[in-house]
Amino acid sequence: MTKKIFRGILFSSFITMLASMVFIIGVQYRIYDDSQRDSLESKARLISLAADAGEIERYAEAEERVTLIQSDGAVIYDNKSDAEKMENHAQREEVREAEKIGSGYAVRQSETLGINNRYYALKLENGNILRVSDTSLSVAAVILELLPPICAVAVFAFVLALILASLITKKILKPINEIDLDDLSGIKSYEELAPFISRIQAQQKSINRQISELTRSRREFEIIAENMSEGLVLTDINGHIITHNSSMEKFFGVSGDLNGKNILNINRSETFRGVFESIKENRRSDSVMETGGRYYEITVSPVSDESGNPRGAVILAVDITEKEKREKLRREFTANVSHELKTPLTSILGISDMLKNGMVASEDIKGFAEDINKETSRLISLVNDIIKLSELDEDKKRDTGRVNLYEVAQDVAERIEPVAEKQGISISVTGTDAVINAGDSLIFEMIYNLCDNAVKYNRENGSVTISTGVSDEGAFVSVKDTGIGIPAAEQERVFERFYRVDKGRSKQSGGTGLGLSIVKHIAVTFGGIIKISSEEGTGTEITVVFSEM
Amino acid sequence: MRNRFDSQLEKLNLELITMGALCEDAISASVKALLDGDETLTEKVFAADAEIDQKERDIEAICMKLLLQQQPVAGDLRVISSALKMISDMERIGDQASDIAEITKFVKNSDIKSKVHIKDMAAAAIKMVTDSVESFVKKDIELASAVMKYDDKVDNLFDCVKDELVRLIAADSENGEYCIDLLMIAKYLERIGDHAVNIAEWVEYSITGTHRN
Repeated sequence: MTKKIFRGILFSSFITMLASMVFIIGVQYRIYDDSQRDSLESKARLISLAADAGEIERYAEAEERVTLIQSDGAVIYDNKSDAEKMENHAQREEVREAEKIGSGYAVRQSETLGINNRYYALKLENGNILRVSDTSLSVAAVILELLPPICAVAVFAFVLALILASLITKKILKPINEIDLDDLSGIKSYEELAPFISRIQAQQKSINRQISELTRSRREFEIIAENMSEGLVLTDINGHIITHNSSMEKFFGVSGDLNGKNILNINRSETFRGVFESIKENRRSDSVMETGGRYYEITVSPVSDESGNPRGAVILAVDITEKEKREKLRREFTANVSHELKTPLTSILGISDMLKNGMVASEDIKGFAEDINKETSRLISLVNDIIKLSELDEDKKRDTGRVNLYEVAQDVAERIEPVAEKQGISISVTGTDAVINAGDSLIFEMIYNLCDNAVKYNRENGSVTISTGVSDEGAFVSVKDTGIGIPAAEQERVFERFYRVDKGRSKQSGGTGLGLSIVKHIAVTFGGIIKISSEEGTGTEITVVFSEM
Repeated sequence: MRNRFDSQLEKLNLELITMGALCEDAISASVKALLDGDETLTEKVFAADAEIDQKERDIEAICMKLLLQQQPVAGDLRVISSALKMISDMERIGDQASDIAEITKFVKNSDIKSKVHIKDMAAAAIKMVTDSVESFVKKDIELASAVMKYDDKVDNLFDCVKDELVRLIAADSENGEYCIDLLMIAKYLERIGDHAVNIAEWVEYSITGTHRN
């Protein structure tokens, strides 16, 4: 723009200058021409006076050429050449004109270049025609004459124009150059630029708005991605990581700038190699992998743009360790249940086979019947426990009321006393009222199971102490025995279904292996926490604390 | 042209990572087969070894193509030449993993392995392979030199296992054959550690341009 304006100014000023020069030269020449003609005319009139007086010879040495022509055109006298030899002048323009109107004027180019001959003819009183002629410079000659000064002036003017044009250009462009595109408010520039500026302002505003919208949605995405517990990775079609969240870093123990690197930089296990393949092949895949003792489900979902071209993939890693563990527990439980159910049934089947085939002596029948009875009641109690557990597993809304742990403990003690007495075990209930919100039958079941265990795994003439009350942590019920105790390593596991510390003894005492599982379930159902403290050979104390009263 | 070069280099890098990962899988599986007596895993080791051999040829082809067609210089040339060296070490690791799996078939019933430090040694060897591959993936010189230092531990464990086995043979010559098998496994593990060191050295070379020894 600067160049264009500069050139424009320079060119126009130069053209103007040239035009005005030509004009001035033209005008000057006219004036020169006129003055030449006037001086010629006055000379002619002067000479005509002399000619009239017949003293034309006086001008024989004059600068001008003086010719006297008869009215028929024949030259009578010429001061520059021999009149005799001159041709007839009747047809000359100025002569004809003088003949007609008394005076004539003509300019003719001389044979010499750049010189014009001027002729002025005047009709004398005697009918002859006096013609005075002199020479003057032609336009071209004048210009040629003036050329050096004109050139000097032109050069000077050109330089001047150059400087001025540059200054003017700068001045014109200064306000434009000074526009601060980042801050267009209150700008004072050319009126002509106002539409552009307001347009730019509007566009800037909309760009800023769009940027802030984009930033916001990106922030949203980042916050969501960062706060999700699942690991997330977005990749392009070549498996290069576009973005990932911190869960992903945590899951696979990677850190640093992973963006732009290949997905295999996160993890290079077989699963991830498969993930890489499915990204490249643009297909969906699901896989489970184990790393660092945890299980992850890795899902690859291909991403396509509007026209269906593959653009990359979303990889989601979900920590399924808990699920996997639960699944394992469930499988174990099923296996255990089948085993526990099968054992009594097998002995019942065996005994009944023997009875059917008459292989049992009649006096032994009673004993076998007792065995069948025992196994059947074990089966029933097992099935009952399983039913209880599955009821508890179903997380349905339960009827709750105010339950006093102390009263329930007394009921339990009353119920269990006859069984305990057989083994010489004394049962005592101590403590104060502790009222919680719970279902009374389930709480009874819980305390009963605890006491049942306390009696079963006690020593002869031992004791069971049930205490209730309210501590800092909440209402509690604790059952303490003087029994065999639980080894420290197994204390965590006794609440697992079918887990038994001493396999032989528990069969003999008729336990199902589900008692403490039920206790734990009931406690958890009503927001209780179980604490166990036990020493092998000394006894066990199990406390259930309900923080919500 | 340059783009093509870069994408070929990236492909080389990916193939190397994959090959390293396969080595990790192979050695982990063979050690697991040895310690847990899980015979299905030995099949996995042989499969991985076959795949490792295939990868070696693939990577060789990529390197040759790069060298001939692109005529790389400086850092790129170092990367490619160290890749060529690295794959032979990786291939050896694969072979030794499958050798261990082969022997595992004969020692699976022996309880001698619980009496010696073979488990620690296997864990150390696996760690070295994993770390050397990791140092390549992350271009981590520090990790690479850590691998080189860790080799002493594997060597010491080898001596330890050797002494233990000598004593076991002396005490119970009945199980002498098992002890010899275990000694061979220990030797393989020790060799795997050496190959991991080689890989780490080539990683260092590809980054710094100077090679130890």
